[in-house]
Amino acid sequence: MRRAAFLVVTIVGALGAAGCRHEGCVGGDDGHCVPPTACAALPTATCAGVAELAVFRVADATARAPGPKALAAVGDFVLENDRLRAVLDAPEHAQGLAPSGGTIIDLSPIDAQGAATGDQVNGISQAAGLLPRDAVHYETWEVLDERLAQTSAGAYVAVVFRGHLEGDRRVTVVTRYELRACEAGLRVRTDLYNGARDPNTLSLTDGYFWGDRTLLPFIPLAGHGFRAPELDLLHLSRAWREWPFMAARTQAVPEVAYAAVPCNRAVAAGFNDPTLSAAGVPLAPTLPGDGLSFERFILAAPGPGLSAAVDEAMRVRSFVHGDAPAVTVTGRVVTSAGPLDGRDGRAASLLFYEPAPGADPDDETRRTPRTEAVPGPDGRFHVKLPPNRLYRVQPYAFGRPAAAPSSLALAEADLDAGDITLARAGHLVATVEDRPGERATFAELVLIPVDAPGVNAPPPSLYGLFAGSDPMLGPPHGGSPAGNRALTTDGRFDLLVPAGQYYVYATRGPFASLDRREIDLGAGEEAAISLLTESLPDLLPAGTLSGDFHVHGGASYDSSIPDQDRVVSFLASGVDVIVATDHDVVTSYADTLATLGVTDQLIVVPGVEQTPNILWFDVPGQTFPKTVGHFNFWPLAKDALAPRNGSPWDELREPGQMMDDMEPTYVGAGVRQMNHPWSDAKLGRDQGFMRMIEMDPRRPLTDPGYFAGNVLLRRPGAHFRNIDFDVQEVMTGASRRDWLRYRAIWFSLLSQGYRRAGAANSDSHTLTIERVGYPRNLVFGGHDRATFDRERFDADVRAGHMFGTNGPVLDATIDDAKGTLQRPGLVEFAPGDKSVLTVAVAAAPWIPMTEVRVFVNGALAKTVDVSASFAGSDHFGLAAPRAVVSIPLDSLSLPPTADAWIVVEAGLHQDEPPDDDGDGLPDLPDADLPTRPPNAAETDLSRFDLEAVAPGVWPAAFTNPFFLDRNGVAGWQAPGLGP
Amino acid sequence: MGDRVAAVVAFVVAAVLEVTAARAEICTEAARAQGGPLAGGTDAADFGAIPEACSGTDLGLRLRGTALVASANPDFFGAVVATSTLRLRQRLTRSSRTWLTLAADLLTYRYVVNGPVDSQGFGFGPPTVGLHRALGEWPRTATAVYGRALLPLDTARSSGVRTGLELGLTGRRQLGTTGRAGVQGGVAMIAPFVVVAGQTHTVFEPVALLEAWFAPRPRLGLSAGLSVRAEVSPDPTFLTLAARVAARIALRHGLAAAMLVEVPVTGEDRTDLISAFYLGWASSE
Repeated sequence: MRRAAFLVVTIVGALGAAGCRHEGCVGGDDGHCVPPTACAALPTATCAGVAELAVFRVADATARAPGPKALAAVGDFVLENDRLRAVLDAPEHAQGLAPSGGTIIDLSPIDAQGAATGDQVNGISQAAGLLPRDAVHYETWEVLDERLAQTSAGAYVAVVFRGHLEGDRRVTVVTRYELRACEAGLRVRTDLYNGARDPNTLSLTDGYFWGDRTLLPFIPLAGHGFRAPELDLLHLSRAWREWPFMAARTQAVPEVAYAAVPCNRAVAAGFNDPTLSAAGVPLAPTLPGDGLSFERFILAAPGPGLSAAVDEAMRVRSFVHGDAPAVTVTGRVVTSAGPLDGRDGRAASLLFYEPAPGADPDDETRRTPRTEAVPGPDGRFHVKLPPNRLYRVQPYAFGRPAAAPSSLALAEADLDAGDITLARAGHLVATVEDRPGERATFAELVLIPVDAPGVNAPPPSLYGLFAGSDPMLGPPHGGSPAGNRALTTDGRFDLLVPAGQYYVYATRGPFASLDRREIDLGAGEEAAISLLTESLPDLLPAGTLSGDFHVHGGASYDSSIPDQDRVVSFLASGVDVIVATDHDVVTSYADTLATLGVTDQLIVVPGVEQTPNILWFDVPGQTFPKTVGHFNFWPLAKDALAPRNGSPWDELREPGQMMDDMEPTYVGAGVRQMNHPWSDAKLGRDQGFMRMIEMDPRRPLTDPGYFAGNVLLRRPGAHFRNIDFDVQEVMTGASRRDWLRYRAIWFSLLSQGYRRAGAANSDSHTLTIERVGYPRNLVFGGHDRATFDRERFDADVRAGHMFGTNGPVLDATIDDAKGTLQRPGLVEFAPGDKSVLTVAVAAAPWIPMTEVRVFVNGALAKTVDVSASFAGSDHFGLAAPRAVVSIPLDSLSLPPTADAWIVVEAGLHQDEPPDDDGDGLPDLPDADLPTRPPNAAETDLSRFDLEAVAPGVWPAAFTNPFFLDRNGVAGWQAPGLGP
Repeated sequence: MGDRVAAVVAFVVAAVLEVTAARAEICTEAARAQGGPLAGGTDAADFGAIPEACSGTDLGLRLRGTALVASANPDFFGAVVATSTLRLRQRLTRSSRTWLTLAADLLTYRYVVNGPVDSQGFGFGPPTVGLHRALGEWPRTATAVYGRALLPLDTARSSGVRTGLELGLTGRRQLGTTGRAGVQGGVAMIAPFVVVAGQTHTVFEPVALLEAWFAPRPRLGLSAGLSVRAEVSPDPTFLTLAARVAARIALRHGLAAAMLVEVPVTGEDRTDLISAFYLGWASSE
């Protein structure tokens, strides 16, 4: 009995002592606890770089690393040594998915000269779940500066942030970011204490918001690597995996690679996806009164490719987890005819993996990718791999396997793998002229295969991601060449191209002529061609400027196109005015415009696309909370010292509140635009406001109990209602299906008397995701670039003084009762008894067009066939076909003595598709989605060249409405919704 | 109000001093179906559950399930916990009025859904050990005081320990002369404390139980009542008021089976349902 009692007392005592051991803030945040140094097993060697160790708060713009994603703002914290600069945002600077600062917003390597080489991080923030309530909200901070008090080996600088879960203050979270001299990464430790009463699945993780199209995340797991399972928000746990480290590589300059290594656990757990990865602790119930910690080493290394970051990650693991030291594999990539033309590392890359078990060692679903290397310009590469294993090396070029994989048997000694031979690339040298004999300054080259790709032929991709461009001359969302497109600033192109037969197009937008050459490039062969793309005189109505009010660049979380390529793409598209609308951050491109010397050729109006990403808005009957869609605002001023360059934080706000928030930020009178109102949700984040609130265009917004109507008409903040946007996108990008739906929503609003201008914007993100200027707006009102008056231009946009088009040029007028020609706009006028609608249409010869359509009160009232004027045009000629149509208003069956509105369209024939799902919107059948027409040698060529240059575009142009005041009563009376 | 308090104090003092020692008829037939209150609630093992007022020696197994479904959008949260608990009650001597209890959660399964992520896990522990002392026993009334310790052994915890103490008073009274009906219950103060990473979090939570029992047949007992639990320190909070119903069947050879259902009706505790099945054996001593 005594023995048993002694045993019990001993056990209890031991357990109690374990609880008494001070260990950071795992037991809760008492305001004094400090998480200990993470990754303590990492050696703290003395090094020469201790003098560079620094911690300071941002005071000026010099703290920003190169790259459009760098966001350091005044008051943020910088941790820096001789290898790394990390910026942690101040708690009051909420960014992206995080409800507060205290997150990593910039992470840049430092070069030998002590300069930051560039940042590609959108944001790394902590959460303990996927719902907004589980995001970590930091409130206070403290700086630990131990540069002097410690020996040089133990010197460090750190910032500690204290907070709690957004939805439960009882769950405390404290994170320590620490940097030591000569280390390539941050030591990070987060302590969480569950002070709530219930057990909970507190999946403490870092959220890496890749945002798509930027960094490619990689985990060294069988069947994974760059591949990621489809994320299902309803069953996210199924995507949970465990991995020894996570890494990521960029696809654009500045070239950086990142890695995160768990320290106090052998593996990190989470999910990995090109949109968002979460890396942290395994999923397990956390009891009330229990705490946990997560230590990791988050590092940055110079790119290109993944290998530098993976090398460092394995080195860290060998210290922290005792992994066998990695061995170095070197080698050289050559072609069958000699050294490789590395060309910025775009031509080739190598994927190293452990073979899959079974008969097919290269089975992508079972092999275990370990690292990836991009050879240098001389073809040489080196990577580190775990020893004593068999490996396979798969060379890739132009998005496809470039040779058969080879095998490596790695022991414990470094290995020279020798030469890896690839097939030779072709070489295309093209010059583009904008007048005969005059080389164009800015132009775009587009390549497509002569033969349509086979149905079963795998398209080129970046390790299975971002397929769609054929050929793939470079990473599809990087700088030029990207996908099958390239840009020039001097009219000359010098490109490596995979062997094959191609059509090569030179284009400068839909208002210039198009040129095409066919080339047949063998391996190692060179083709030199010259192309001509001339501006088409008198195609556009006098006094109009073409504008695209929705474009993205590398500052957006879902784009990585460098600023220079972005601006050159604007210039090559022939757009006059760009509203820069990066997600949640103000951009001006001012430096790039100045560097290129094109401030007189392109007007960039700084703006923002407010893009909420935190799910919070409750819609009755929906499983998950929602985000409220996307809204553009301009004109703004970029403030590089402010969080998000001066854009207000847009999360957890209804559109009306966002409009209120933007009011003080405008430079002049603001323009508020609702973007892609019926766009699909993306990983739970609603992109279309009208789709999110389930707006039904057949129902009056004033219907009692109509949720969407209530939301639109309510005033959530001080001033604006949710419906108080000035402009609605009627066309966004190339999607024919979306256009018809957005149009139906716009028509519904117009018929109910909510007069909103209709706009056509590209929403272009990269060279391969939507083309700048397809579609665009032609704003009339006596504008020109040389005397550009932004206030007057924006006023015309708000007033609907514009046409939207993805190619056809449209001008429409009505002579009013006084005989004055009226153009479309949101102000009504009284027509006369004999008023005539006059429609002038024209197009570049390579843009097909067949009809003019007239809508009265949202219903198709008349179709006029103009195909005869546009048939048989020489696609590569300079003659722009035209037609003029005159339609007496009394032939349009206007409702007798009632006010009405008219919208005119021109383009290819378009029926009204059926509403298959009963939501009141047309559902264009898949068979009607524009794809590549039959080959050039076959029939139906009218869209072939347009499809090559602007895939998916179905030519259409539309006017803004004419509001006809016909009933003699003062003011315009909305006709209401039809039966 | 003052008179009532004085009466209660006098009763307790008298009980402690063992003013009377009459053998309680209410406690003599251990095999009968209307034993003490079944251990309910959601805490570990029998911690915080008002125990029997009568001494005895028995061994019981409890299979308990709790469910919490907070499905209101956007705060979807759910937890299901299934626990098997073994409890031993041992009278120190055959005629002793003091007895020990030892209880332990043998295996606990937790499934917790937090929005789109869920997790599950198994755990062992924690155990409790208790010392109970009958106070006064009258023919139709029994009372006891007890102290119980929550031992810091729970494999489901990631860090630190949770332990605690419980002091309580429990009673049972027969109504009428037939022995077929009565009331039982008690009050206790529990003080669980968590020690994690050098920090201690202690709470004081009074609990109370009152239920009526009725035995329509000698081997069938039914009961219904209310339990209540609150936190008085450090954050005064009303935790739960739960309605409970139970049925117990006495089988042969000292075996008994029972069922308990508790439905929290108000309070900050979001648990929706607690149900438990009991299988026990009681010594005929």
